[in-house]
Amino acid sequence: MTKPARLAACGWLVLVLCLLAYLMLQLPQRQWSSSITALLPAAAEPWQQQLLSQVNSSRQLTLKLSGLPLPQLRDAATALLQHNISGLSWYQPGAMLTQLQQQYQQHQSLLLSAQASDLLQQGRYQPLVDAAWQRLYSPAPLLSNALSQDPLLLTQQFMEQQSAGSLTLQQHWFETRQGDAIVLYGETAADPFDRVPASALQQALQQQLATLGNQWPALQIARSGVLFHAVHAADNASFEMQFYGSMSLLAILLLLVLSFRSARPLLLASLVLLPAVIAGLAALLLAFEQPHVLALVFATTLIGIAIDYSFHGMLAANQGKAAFSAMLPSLALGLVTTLLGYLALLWLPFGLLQQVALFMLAGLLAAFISVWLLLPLLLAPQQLRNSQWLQQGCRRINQGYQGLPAKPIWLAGLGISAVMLALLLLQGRFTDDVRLFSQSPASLLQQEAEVRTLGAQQWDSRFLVILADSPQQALQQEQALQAQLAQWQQQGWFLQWQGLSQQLASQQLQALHQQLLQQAYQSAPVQAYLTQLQLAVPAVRSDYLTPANFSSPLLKQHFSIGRQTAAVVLLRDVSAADLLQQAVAQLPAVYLLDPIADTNSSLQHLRAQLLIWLALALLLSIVVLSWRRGIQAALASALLLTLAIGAALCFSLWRQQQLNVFNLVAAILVLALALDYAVFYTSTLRKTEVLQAVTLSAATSCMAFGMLSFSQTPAVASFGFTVFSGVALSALLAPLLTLLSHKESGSGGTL
Amino acid sequence: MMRLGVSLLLSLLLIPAQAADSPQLRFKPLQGQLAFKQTKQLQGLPVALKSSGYIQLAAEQLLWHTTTPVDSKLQVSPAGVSQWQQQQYVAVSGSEFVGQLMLAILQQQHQFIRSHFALSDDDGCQLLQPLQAPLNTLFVQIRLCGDSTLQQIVLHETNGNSTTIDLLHEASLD
Repeated sequence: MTKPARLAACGWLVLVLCLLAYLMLQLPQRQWSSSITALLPAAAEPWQQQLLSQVNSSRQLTLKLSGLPLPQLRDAATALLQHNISGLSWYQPGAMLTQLQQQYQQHQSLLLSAQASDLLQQGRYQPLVDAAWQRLYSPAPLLSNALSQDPLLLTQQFMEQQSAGSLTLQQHWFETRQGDAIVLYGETAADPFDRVPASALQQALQQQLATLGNQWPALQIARSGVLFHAVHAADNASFEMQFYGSMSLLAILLLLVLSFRSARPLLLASLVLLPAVIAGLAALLLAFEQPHVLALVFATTLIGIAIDYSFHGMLAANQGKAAFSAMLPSLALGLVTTLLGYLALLWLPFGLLQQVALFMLAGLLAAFISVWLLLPLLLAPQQLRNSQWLQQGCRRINQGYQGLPAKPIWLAGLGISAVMLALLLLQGRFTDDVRLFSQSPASLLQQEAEVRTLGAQQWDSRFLVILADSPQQALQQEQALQAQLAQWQQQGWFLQWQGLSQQLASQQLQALHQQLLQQAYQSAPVQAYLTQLQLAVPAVRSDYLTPANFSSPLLKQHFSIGRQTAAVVLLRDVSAADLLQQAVAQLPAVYLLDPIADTNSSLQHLRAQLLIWLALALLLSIVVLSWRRGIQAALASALLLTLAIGAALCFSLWRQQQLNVFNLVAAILVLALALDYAVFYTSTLRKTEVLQAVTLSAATSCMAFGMLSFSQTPAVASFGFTVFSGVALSALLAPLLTLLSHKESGSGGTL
Repeated sequence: MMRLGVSLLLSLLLIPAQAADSPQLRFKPLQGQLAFKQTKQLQGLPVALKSSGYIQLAAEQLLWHTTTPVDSKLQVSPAGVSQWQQQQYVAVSGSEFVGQLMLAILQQQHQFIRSHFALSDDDGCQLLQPLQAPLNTLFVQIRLCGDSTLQQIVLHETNGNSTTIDLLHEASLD
């Protein structure tokens, strides 16, 4: 081994150690995201993206306690609230109501109901006087100074006409009107997708709920909230990453022991795998502030691909320097084509795929450099005892392939490819559903549905947005929409709506109310009323209630978007989204946002892009191969790739009934791997060694990807199954490429 | 005989002690229909507002029907108060506590009253002082008077208003 080669190897090891040190410094302080939305392609309009990043109900959680008589439920709820859980605060509905009443009390006569406002504008004062008398004779308490500030008690009645909802408000919680359940609302301080604090909070809450369960065995608790789903998804992804990663490693170890009956290959393979993983992780942390755990699940497949390089490297180095030098160009060509596949993913506007691609690009490059620089240094020729039975087996298989009739096989291949492509074109259906990203357990979904049936605070994922130039204008526009909202509600397009304008009138409207009231006080019916009660006419008020001096949870529905204000109107149980969309399209500056549909639409767009990229990558492969191996070998390789990808997609379609975007991502990976095999089988390298290396690497890849197909996350399972079937088929078909003559024999096997 | 004497002595000693610690609700729960007269004193209003009508009490619900000087119907349940408006009962938001309170007083619901009020005796009447929000933000105290049957309720609000409700058990009602 030459001195420069040794220096290069040492330099490479030093670089890997530096990257390892960087990882050890960064990993403990980095947060791993498990947010699904963070991965998704961005919505079309920039203001919508900005709004969606602010509209965040993911920190809210709901608990429903039932199964006991109401007094015991109250005891259980009290016991739960008495134990402070760090990072979790419970809503106090009674206190919120008291606060709201106090604000209205200080601004009486400024806020009126829509009906009262209409009557005032129409000059119909008698119904207002009748309602005031009725309210005066009610035994229920009145607001302080109600008669002196608002003799017609219009603010009092406005307050009492606020939507009572389907639940009964108590000081610390809500109760169902039947008294069979208590509902508690809470908010987490931490982002539920921030794994460590979210997991700690969920565990603390779970512990408290278990204590309640021990104290009241009949108590039933239903949970609702992103926290529970996010923690489950993160735990699941973490488990799968560790489990599948460990199983892949175990399978590789087993194959190494079977092939070489020595611990040395294990050490050599580790020297390829570890730098690959270190480089992949370091690139991920360098490029992304908060990498996603799901990216790591996909990236466990690096082990399967990088070991492929180890096998080629070890088998070649074991034969001597010449064999290693002859192998290296093919390995480099394989690397280049694989990198091109992943580079394609890097350019797609999809966070998850970008993270996976970057991890794989850095990891594969590191694996290649390790094979290139380290293996010849650490493995002397004939140092490994290659398993005789494996070599003989490969030799026989190779002879078997050589004995096959080339022409009929390739004609059959062409026919089968045509049939599969036709099948995919005619029968291939795609689903673009964001829910593929995660799958919550049935029990959690059932609890979510149970809490949703209670109604309150359970809003649809679709909502209306009113864009305005200022907060006051937003209130005015929302107010103007109220009649339309009431009409849509009456038509059954949705069950309920919630907006800030229900609690707070715009300054302009409050001024109008004052003007109308002064006119009313001069009218005969109101004059008679005031005289009977011996009350004076109140003065005009201008101390308006505005978003700046008003406190309510509904204020969180107004957002600053650049110089504009976005007023969000929440909807419940939307049943006519299409009609609503059509109606909203007629209104200026009003939008119906549907983040899930938008995301699904983005996925559909992404799918179309992936199909184009797949075709382009296939075309590029043919061009590169025809340059290095000749047109015949390139076309044969293209047929192999088409067969492998087509069959993998057909099998996936048969298994899943519908294809999805992750099957296409997997197809790109199959393309990269199958191309790698094609590169080696169309080379001048000894086919027995090629077969052995490809078989071993395909076996490990099949283990790694095949196990992913058992993942609980539909996206990961789809990805794993397609790669598994594609790689298995590629490994079976690739030896047929040896039946072809190739151009490289004349060019000496250099890249 | 000796045992009976000791028991009586113990009873005499224990009863006042219990009464001093926490007075018991002493009125019979009301049921059925009864008339009422209400007098409301409101801050800033020189005249008292007088009204009358009848109350219909069921297990978990009451109808408060004011007949003079205005006709007004309120339905009160633990879920809150609903007002009769345009041929239907419309929920009065934020009235849950008041609804529960009215039912608890008229039906003498021990558990609700004891968990929300401090009880004391005052000149033959019982005083209920709210212990916690939101009732203590609405009422200073509630005075219940009568012999074995509740005859008068006086609601003293925190804003200085007061409402006196006289219950007429022997009235003939239509």
